[in-house]
Amino acid sequence: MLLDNKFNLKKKFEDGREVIYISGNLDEDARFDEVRKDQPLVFDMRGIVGVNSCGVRNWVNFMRDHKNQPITFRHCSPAIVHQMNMVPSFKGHAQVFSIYVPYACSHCDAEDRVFLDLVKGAREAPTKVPCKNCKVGKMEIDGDEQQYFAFAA
Amino acid sequence: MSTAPKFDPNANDQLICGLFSKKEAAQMIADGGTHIHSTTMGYRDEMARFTSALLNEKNPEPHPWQLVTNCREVSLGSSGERYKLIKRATVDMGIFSRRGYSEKVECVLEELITNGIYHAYANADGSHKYRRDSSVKLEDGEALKVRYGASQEGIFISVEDQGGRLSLEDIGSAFYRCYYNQDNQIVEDEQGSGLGLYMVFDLVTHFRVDLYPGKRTVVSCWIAGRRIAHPSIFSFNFFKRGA
Ligand SMILES: [Zn+2]
Repeated sequence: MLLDNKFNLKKKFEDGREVIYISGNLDEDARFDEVRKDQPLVFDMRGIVGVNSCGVRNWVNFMRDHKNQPITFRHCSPAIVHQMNMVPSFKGHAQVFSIYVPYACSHCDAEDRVFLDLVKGAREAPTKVPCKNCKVGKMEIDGDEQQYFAFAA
Repeated sequence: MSTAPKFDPNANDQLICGLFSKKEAAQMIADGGTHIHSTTMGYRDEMARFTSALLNEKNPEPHPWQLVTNCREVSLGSSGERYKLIKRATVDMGIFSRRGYSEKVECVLEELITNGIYHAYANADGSHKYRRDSSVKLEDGEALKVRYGASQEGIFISVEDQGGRLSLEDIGSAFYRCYYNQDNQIVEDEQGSGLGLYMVFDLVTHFRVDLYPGKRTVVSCWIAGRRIAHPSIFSFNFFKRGA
């Protein structure tokens, strides 16, 4: 995928546990060798901007190799949500804690993302949110809402 | 209810109109359906009428959505150039700043170009000429023609290879596997995951293939703008051209 969005994996310790931040394009060059096989895994996926077909396969194979570990996805970007909807094994046995929902303004076309914490029971995204850009229009979900939440069914 | 696909080559050239999901369309394509329009307008739909007219013509005219005024054509001669081309296309079309749209367009371009490079060309024994894990410089006469253009209504993308090997049966079986066999969507093949065309079909509004067997394949797509896009409005067309 695009050169300036190379896949990146970074680990951080937060509240006594390891969180794996992945970002860029999930493609054939994505490597997960550093991910441990002996502990629950938490992935933060807000930085993934694109996923190609070979990246999907890489990821699904990774999920299969780690099928005995509890896996959590949090802050899933729309690119990740689209893949979970298109390829169910992309989500596999993971629990999805939170996602971003893409919005677009019907007045000025501005785009934004709204964070949705699924653990706190927020199963539905707000239908309309005020546009911060033009301050006139309302932002609506960009795309079909039912399709976007199909992964959670 | 889905039934295992029974590919019927005689099902070709029949126009089917109705209101379907893409999954239902995948079953029809796997059974040999070539011209499927999901529309609320039935056979009065403008696109369906155009397909109907095309079926009676030998000359493969473009569908109306392919006639974007600012359409550009770029030649691509190697796998290494493809990311630069994709970036240039999104900038040219003025969608670089529109994140949701550019993600779709990048995905469609990348999958179609990758298919064109690694699947369109074969050795004399039928095996793939270019390996997916290699960087490829296409030979003379093999360059892909990538066309793209944008209007207020949406985005047009087409990728033309000079191999002509993409069959309806291949498309149908890939779509069927991906929509109906969701535990087993992915192929473990060194040439790819078998998901590319499915991902494209799932993302776009209109999908059309013009196959000139052994000569060239043109895969064309239209992605409707967000105010027009509706998941139930889409089309699939496969034209096999003799001469
Ligand atoms: Zn606005």
